[in-house]
Amino acid sequence: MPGILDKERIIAPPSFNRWLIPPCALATHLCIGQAYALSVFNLPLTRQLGVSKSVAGDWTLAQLGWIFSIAIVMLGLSAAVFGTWVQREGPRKSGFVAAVCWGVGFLVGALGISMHQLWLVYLGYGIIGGLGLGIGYITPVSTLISWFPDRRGMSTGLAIMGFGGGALIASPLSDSLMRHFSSATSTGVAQTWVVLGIVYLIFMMGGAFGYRVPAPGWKPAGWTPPPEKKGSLITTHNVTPHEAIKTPQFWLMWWVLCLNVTAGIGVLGQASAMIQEMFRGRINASAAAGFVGLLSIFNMGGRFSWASLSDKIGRKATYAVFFILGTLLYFLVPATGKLGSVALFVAAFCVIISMYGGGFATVPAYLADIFGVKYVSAVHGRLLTAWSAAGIFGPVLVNYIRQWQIAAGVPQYQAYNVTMYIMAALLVIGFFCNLAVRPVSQRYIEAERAPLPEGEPSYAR
Amino acid sequence: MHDAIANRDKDWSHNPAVIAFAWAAVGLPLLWGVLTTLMKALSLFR
Repeated sequence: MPGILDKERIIAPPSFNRWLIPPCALATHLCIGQAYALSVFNLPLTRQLGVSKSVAGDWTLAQLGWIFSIAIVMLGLSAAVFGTWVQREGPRKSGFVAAVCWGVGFLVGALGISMHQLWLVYLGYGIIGGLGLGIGYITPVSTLISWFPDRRGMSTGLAIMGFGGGALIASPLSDSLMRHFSSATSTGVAQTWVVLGIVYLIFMMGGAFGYRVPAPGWKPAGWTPPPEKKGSLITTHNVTPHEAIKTPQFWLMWWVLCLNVTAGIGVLGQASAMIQEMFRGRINASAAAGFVGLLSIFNMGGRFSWASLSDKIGRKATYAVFFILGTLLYFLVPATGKLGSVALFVAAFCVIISMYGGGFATVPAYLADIFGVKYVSAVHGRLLTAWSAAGIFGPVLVNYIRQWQIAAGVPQYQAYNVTMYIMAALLVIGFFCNLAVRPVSQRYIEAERAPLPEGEPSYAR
Repeated sequence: MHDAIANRDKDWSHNPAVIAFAWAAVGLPLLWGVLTTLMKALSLFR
């Protein structure tokens, strides 16, 4: 008899309502999306000992920056390493493990904060929580694509939208909790992490136990898989993760994702400083915070809207739009500074960030189109290493070029211009990588078995 | 055993209360987060 977490235990009857699956995926992603709001704890954590102000022995911002970096690197690594396991074991077991890792990560981190042991915070949030991030991120992908073979982009876009939206909930919630728990002797961060850990654990468990997988051969009522055309990017065959990483398509898509993310992530991290420096005297810290919030909303909204659009116009065309429109907008940004138009500047970055989010949300469906549905979580996990790489490239490009420009005597309001042109150039490279994506050669296709019908999930084998 | 689980799933998965609860559980916190962020973002246009 299958165990309570086993995939065999959650096979749904043919008439199961598939619209119950996206809320489960959102429950996972809304929780792990908290990672984008981690910076809300930065300043309070720099005065854990002094409470009202930093004192000798308190942690520095540079030391604290490593918590996020470790977590993001662990996200990429765990998604790559455990992708095959997630695919094999199914969403309930992997969702359960992700919930435990994410919740326990917060609790261990809270212990580290209360004991003022930074290594425990690195271990808790960074390593244990980072494992939960990676496993949780890829958990719903294959299940959603199996339930929505007719709307692959929309379904994965919905889930990955949750990752963008998680910060919108976590940021004000953390702020309120810290205010509630803070006292003359405590910043309230440790207590806040305990509450968040427990809440996320419960919420993610709810999602994990709600997952169902479709029965073998299931497809939506009234839907017939379109016939595979010669030269079409959408395949009904499957490529194993081991073979997928040997294909040029995988590496072209790796660069497509890496370049698209690099262009967005550096800006996202520096948005507040950038708008204040480019419009000095007109934009204060409070307005800049509003700008960052607006970007978060577009980051989230872009995930759903662009991924849904990709169901209509195709994945390759959607990425072509990202790269062409992104290039034009990056070229436009310095002009908005010259014109002194805050509205144009904000509009340009809102669209750019929507495409950054859209890139994340569209890629699982792109992978399923090219490598098949059967191993999509495992292949997606390996592709997410591009995110880890972009997490290093993006901020380095923005920060170092700005510093180099200022050292060269360029006025502060123009210090980002070169960066914008470099970002535009990166997007041009991304455009050509995307253009070069062709159907996978027959020699990489899994040959030992007949191809799975559209919508048939991996456990069928 | 499996049939029993399948029938039970069939019953509740189309129950409007279950569907509303599932979507509200994720939709309401998200809506709260979006509205809170939008209120803060208004300072950009003042």
